[in-house]
Amino acid sequence: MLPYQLGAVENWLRSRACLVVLGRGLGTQKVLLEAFRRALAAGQTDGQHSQRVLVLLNTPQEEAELLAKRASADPLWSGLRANLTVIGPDFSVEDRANAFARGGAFIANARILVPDLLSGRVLPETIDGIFVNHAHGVAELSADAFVLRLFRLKNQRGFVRAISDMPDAFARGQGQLEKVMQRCFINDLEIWPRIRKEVQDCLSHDFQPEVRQINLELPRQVQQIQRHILNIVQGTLGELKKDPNLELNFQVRDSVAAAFEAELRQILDPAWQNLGPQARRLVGDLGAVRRLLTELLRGDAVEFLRLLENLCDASPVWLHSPDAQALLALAKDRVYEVQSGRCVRKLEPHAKWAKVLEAVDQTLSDVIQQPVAPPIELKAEPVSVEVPGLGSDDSDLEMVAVHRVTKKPRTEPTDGVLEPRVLVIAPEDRSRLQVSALLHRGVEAALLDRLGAYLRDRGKRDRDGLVAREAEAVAQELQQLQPRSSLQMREVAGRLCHPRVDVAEPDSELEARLEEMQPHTVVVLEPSLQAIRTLEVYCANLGRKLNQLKTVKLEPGAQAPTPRLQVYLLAFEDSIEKYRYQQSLLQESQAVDSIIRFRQHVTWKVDPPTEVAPPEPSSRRGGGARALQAMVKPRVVVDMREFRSTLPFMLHLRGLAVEPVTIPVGDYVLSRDICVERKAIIDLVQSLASGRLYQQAQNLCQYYSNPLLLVEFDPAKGFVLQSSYQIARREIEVGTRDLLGKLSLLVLHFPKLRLMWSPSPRFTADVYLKLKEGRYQPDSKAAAQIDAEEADVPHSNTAAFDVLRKLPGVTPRNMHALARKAGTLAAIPDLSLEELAEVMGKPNAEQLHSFVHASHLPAATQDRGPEIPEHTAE
Amino acid sequence: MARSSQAIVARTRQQANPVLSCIRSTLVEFVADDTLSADFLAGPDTAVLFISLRFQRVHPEYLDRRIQGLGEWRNRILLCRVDVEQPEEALEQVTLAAFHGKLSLLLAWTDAEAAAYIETLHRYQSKGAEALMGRLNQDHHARHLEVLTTIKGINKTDAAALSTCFGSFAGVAKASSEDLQRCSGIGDKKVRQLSNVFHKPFFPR
Repeated sequence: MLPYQLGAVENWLRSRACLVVLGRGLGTQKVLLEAFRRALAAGQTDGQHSQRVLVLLNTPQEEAELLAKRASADPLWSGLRANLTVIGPDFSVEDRANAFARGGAFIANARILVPDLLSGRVLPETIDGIFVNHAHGVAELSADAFVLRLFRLKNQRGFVRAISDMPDAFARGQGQLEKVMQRCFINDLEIWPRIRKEVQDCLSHDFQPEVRQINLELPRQVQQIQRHILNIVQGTLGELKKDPNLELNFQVRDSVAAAFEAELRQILDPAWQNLGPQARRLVGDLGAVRRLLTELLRGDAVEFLRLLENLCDASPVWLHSPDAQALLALAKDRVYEVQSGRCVRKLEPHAKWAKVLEAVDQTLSDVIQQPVAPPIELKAEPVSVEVPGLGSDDSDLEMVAVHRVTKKPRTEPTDGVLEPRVLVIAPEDRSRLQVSALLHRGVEAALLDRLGAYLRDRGKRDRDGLVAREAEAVAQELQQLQPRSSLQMREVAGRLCHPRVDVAEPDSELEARLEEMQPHTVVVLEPSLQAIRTLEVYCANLGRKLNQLKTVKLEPGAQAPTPRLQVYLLAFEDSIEKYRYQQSLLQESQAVDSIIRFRQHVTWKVDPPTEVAPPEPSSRRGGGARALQAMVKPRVVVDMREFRSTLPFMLHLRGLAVEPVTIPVGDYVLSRDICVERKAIIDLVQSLASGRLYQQAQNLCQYYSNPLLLVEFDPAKGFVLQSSYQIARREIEVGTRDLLGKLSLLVLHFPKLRLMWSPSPRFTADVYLKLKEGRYQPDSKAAAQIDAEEADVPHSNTAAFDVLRKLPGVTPRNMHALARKAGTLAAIPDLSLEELAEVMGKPNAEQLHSFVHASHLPAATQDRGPEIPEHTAE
Repeated sequence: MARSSQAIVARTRQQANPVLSCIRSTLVEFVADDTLSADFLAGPDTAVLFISLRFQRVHPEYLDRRIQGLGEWRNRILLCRVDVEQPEEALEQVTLAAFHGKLSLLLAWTDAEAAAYIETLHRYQSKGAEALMGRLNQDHHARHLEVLTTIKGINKTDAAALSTCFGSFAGVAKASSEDLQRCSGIGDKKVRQLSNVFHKPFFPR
């Protein structure tokens, strides 16, 4: 821990309801873990609090597991009463109830926690406090906000502490910061940007890495491609602006920014229903072209061509513009060239690859030249020195000792074998794969491999098999090529040397990765704020550790080691990536400014939530039952799966008691006779098409006398069913493929089914309240016991069932038998027609079998197919 | 009313309703107001009441009176024209009235849409429910894309890419994580999602 991080922890813990915002990459995870640990330790000393619960919300599964791993590896955590437990989706209801009853520290998904809180499996009174990760992501009516409200209602004493590392997220939209604080019931704010003095002091430590900033010229062709893409973006945007329903004022510069898509969505969503298909297509095209822009700088030439051609297969609007033709020609030119009727492969390696290989070689020779044993080995030694005054909680010496445990050498640490370590930080999965291919097999092989894959892909659509033959040739060449791995053990200058190169993503895991690996060299492939800041923090940590070692004096005469850390920052001049990096810096500093101003000028108190009394029942219905009604809080039975939607929270806010139960028919049971099936517009369209809604309507009508179909509109997208364009263009013929036709048919076939159209969750909640007036409360037991064919077996792989349900020939009746027979979804293709017929009958089996094995490759397109085969044939 | 199987029967009162002018492909016959309790008959046993939210605002008591006098029909439909900016209050009244009066509520945002509902209801009088049971008139390719997009995180573009890379559903189902990763647009997260769906057993343990 660095001093400023400790400072942030201390300030954070001082208040019982505080939000702390750190600059990007300044070590949120460490701050969070330390604060969590201290909160846990504080609860411990009270004695009677052994069954208390601490919860961390809003943490994605992967990050949760990483946090738990870090906590369990940390010796400071070992003395505590409980470890950090991740409540994953594999926990059954009983497991969860037991875990919470035992008490301890949990990372939980709010969607799971809400039903647990509502049904009393977790009592808010037993929760000591709640930590909220990624506070900027706590959305209105989200499950996280629901948990916090349920907690605060019953527990005024416990704490709520939120943390975020994205100051710029709070600057998007009006009053975002206040809204988040209100949702979390937080009234105190701490901000730790990079420019804060404490942070500044920490990071400008005397240990500084050697930074080599390498600015590469964009290759000429790439420059041209980039220009053409920008032209296309501009052209597409220009087309879009012509739409009379839209008011767009964008510059091309804006459209390069990473957040452009989100901004465009914000503008388009309210008007989306009024857009014609042309405009919608343009929006789709824009997204795809912008992906090209990033891919151009990240990927190699073959990959880019592949992506571009895939895009062109979808025949976007811009396909026939001169820019597009030039773009295609240029992209092809980077892969192969036609010279006097013969096709010459001209694989252009990525410009940054040479630099990466260079960096690896440089590290190798540097490490070898180092006369003294590299510092890393010193750290790997057990440091068993007792230091008075440093053995306290915050000592970093213990941290040093830990590395011995966590660091697992790749091979047996043979004496004398050097291990130069290089960490390459690459922005995304694909470029990570490319870099590791490059390191394992060399430039040529990596490119040929890509080309082979590309040709095989193209060859599938080519009837003559010429492309496939070319692919074979490439594959053969690839086999003959000597693998030139940069990672092999080798002997340099008389010393054995086994380089280790890792490729990592610039995310929250990066810090742990650096600490574990302790690289000699770090290569930052694309400028990124997160990567650079994390490196700074890592260096500061390293510097502090070294200083401590110096003062400790391990052995008399032993020289204090000087670690070397070489950092290469690669960036293209005049490119999108550089522009985006500068933008992200600028946005963060602006956001920090506005948060600081907000903190200076605004003082206010967040009121604790209060129970909402349901509104007085109107005199419309009810009569004699009114007196009784007033005493009982109106109750709604809500299906467990419904907690993904915002409606249960809204019902709670409107004063309805929400009872989570797994019910096989319907989503909400309002009374003994009213049951509601909720369909958002997209679901409505899909389930009308798939036949699911027909099934559900049948069940509803069978089991309830007043079934209700709720058609739910997204408040952000406007209260209109079909776009005005569609209606204006409506041909006289309304088909059954059409939403309107299907709805009419539904109404005709289910006269008993009532419909309700809701512009917002608030509207729905109000109508629910009115519908419940004068009716009996719902019976959750009866609702849960309905034995419908659709009933899902608990603890099943629901995502797989969702896919299975959509396959042809699969009906609710044969679905479970089929699932049992196959075991997994991947095993379904293995079943023979006869085996399928056993469980689902012959006609269904034939349908399924032919669908599963049918080829869906699009027909070969002549004009855009690769030109290689024609020329090689000559 | 025998004529209702060939034509849409409307009350004379509705003659001024702009919705009627949008009905183009079906014959409309008018009958005296007191012989018909509904506003339209879309079929022999399909009664349609018409209300616009603007009218509901001014005359909130009108709808309840009409519903009470509607009488027994197999299909009782309330067609509501949304023609106000802030529809919540009036819409709530209409929704509750339809619910308590046992009517199926349909909303139309334009006159053309309302007309399309009336015409469609008329035309589908004796149509079976097969079209609702779904999954009939779809070619394999479209179906394949639809099946793949059911998986969380897989959008239409991804589904198309998977389809081109592996050809068939069997191909996608059997693909290894490495193969999946080669598909453009499919990153680590999506690969994990796909292998969870395809390779985790339906019934764990």
